[in-house]
Amino acid sequence: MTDLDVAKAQARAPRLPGDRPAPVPALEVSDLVVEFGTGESATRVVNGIGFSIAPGESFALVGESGSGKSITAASILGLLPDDARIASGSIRLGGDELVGLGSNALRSYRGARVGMVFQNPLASLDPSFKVGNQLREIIRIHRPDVRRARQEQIAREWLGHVGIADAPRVLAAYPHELSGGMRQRVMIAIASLSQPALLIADEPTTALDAVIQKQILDLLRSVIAETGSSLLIITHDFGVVSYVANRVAVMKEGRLVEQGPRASVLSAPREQYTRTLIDAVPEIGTRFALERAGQPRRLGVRAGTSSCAAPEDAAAVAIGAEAVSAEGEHTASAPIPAPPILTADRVRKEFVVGGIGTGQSKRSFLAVDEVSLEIRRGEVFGLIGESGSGKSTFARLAGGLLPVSGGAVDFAGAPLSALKGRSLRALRPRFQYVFQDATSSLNPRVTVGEQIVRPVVRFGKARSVREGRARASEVLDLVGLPASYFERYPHELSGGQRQRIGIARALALEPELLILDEPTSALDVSTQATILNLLLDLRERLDLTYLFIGHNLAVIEFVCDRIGVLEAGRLVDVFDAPDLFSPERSAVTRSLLGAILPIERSATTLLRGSSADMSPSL
Amino acid sequence: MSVLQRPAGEAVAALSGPGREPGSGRGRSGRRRPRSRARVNTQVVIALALIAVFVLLAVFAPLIAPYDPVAGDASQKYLPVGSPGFLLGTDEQGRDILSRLIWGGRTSMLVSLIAVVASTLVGSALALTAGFANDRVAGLIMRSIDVMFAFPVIIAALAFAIILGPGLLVVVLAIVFVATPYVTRIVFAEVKRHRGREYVEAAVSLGAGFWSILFREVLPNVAGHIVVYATGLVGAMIVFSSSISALGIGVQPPAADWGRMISEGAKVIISGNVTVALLPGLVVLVVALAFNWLGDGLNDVFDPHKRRSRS
Repeated sequence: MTDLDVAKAQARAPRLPGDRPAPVPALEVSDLVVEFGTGESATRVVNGIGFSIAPGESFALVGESGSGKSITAASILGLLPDDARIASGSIRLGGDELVGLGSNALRSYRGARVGMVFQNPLASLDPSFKVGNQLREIIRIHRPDVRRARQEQIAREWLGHVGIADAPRVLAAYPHELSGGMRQRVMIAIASLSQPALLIADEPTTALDAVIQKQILDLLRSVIAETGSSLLIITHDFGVVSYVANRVAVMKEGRLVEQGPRASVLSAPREQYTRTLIDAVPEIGTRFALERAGQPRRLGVRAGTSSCAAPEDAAAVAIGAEAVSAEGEHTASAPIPAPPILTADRVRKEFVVGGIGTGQSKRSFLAVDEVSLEIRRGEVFGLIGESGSGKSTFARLAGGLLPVSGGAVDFAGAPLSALKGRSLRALRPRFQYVFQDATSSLNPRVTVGEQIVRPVVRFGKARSVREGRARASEVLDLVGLPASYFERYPHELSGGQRQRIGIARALALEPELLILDEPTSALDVSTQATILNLLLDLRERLDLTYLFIGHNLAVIEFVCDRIGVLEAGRLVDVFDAPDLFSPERSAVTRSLLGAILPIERSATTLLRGSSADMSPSL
Repeated sequence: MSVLQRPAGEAVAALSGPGREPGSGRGRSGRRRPRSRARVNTQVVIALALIAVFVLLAVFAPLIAPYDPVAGDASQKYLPVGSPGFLLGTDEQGRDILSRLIWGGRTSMLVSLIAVVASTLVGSALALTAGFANDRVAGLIMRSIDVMFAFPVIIAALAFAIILGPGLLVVVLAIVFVATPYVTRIVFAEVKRHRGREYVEAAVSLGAGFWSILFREVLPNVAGHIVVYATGLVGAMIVFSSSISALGIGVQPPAADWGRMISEGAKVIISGNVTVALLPGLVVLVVALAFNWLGDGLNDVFDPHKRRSRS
């Protein structure tokens, strides 16, 4: 801790001579312009933005993909891609101008005075070196004076700081041997052990599930409080903003739309764009608020209507939402339960790992452990759990993509898990699968139209390619894409458009059941909102049943009628969506509920919110 | 920096209902396309032009070659490049090097092209089967490939020669024997990589059968790799064929063959006659380069990321 104290003193020590100098911002960006390419073909991705971060402050840069927020962060440390450059503007770090510095000069700032935490720690940790080696390497660079034994000690200390109790095991492990949350903790240790004046975190929790996300954000808050660093956090998630930031800037197409203190931006955004983004986030209770207001259950529609619904709603969450569950009782009035379309009876799935030739002893683990559930025709069944809980494995079992190890899955009376080959294939058009990652689930070398037509022709839903094309343009229209997209390749589409193609491809076979495996978790909030709205529309128009897999309880609660909770392969809880707050809920459900980061819209929630222990030492 | 690849701006305005999103892949990523496309084209065009020249020379060798490639005049040996009547000089037996190069292209290119195409087809088929078959079949195929790797090729070639008698077919078979394991391993790794991709799982879910997945889903994705690797093999195999011929079981002297010209020329380098080996070496280099460029260019043509959208 002595190291820390010294650093804290250094970090807060005034850098300029004089009696009482005005506090120098930790980071000051002004009129920054970043361009791709040169000359006439140059594209401006960052267009004259400016902001400043005071020492110790947490500043969030919010925007959708393509808004230029990551490029802004990358330009600070000179980490821009080869074909991008800073065209004009200034970036001052604690008073030192960084624009125009050569890469050697910049390197002396990287790590030492600016730490960086990336979205994907598996990609930013070197896969070939043990965590301990990587930590010691960083310590050696920043503290060349300390001895080897002391390096080891500092590494352990820092793993302790980032909440890793079992330091020796982690130091001796390779990155792939650690969980996503652990890796991000190691990344944070690496980024902050030199006690930099500024910590940049680029979507640090986007790849993590809700429970781990909250732990990592807690950690970031405590680390900057301890080291006195400022934090620049890049995110698209207003829940994250609410939880960590003092001030917020909203970015759109390379420009800052608005910036200001968190409370005012979130509760009273001046710009319509900000409001739209905030309203696109599903929150617990939104659906009931909409129902009360007599509105269809769609995201973002609230924007134009009575604005009083929102704060009420947020308050309900904070209080514990007796109001909501009371509300729920008379809305959840499914008269007669519809017949089941999918039945899982004590389904088990065992994976065998290791064995001959892998250098590991053979062992097996249960990914899905005796799960029994029924999905009724016409309902939206949500299946939620942390990563590794077996929810995707169960979805694949239900979708006939993996054989079961035990138990049985029945689809509309047919023994799905017992079928093989031709008879299984004949059943496939009746249930379809929509994958989490639309990018990897579309064949990169086949046009999207062809990918829709192939199965249609295969199952005789169209007798000719011409008829198949007609069907394809029909479903493209259903998902809101023009028929001209037929000839495009997947890489020519945006993430949201790709997911629409994934849905269209499944719908073209006129399925009765859609299995949606986290269909929006890789998407921006506003794209997520459009896709969720689309799914809700389609269900009404086409009379579909959904099995909706997710890790975000707010999304699941918004979309689903009934919810199942998985933990370590076991189904621990099944309930109607309105009963989410009922006292019989399991501990797992409650921890998922506790991991939700509500958007703090009003002054009251701000006061009672989690801001009490926040770090602002301003 | 995934942000860079994604087009800007999902529609925010169309939050309710199935809105239409603006933006397309032709935005930012389309910017650099024209230039790279021009580069691809020139590369392929130059490669094809070079290959065409050598093929035409080989096909019309009897008409073009100034001299008989096998008839030498001992009094004219080791003439330097540019000697009157002998543009590229003569070799140790007084044979015209230009004529031998023109005639040699016939055997060298024919043999290596046939052999490379054959080993690519065989290797790719083995790799695709192994990549999608069950563990037992995959193990059988890949372990057999390991044995082929370990087996001394000279012994295999001698065996072919004993069965078939020396000649071009022995060279072709020897090349297939050498190249197939490499092709199989490279393609197998690619197929394995793609097999785990979600689009294959999606195809299963969409009812695609085994062969459909193999040939319509996965093959288009690995075809580029196969082409690049195969075209890269051509040059190496021209040189390799000479070592088979040098054993006396391939191309029989005095017939002209680039590989043989290099290996025989190498014996007289020590006496200061460099060009006898150097010239065929340069020709092989140019032909190999042309095939490499062709493969690179074709890979880009196969890749829709580098193709212009048709819409």
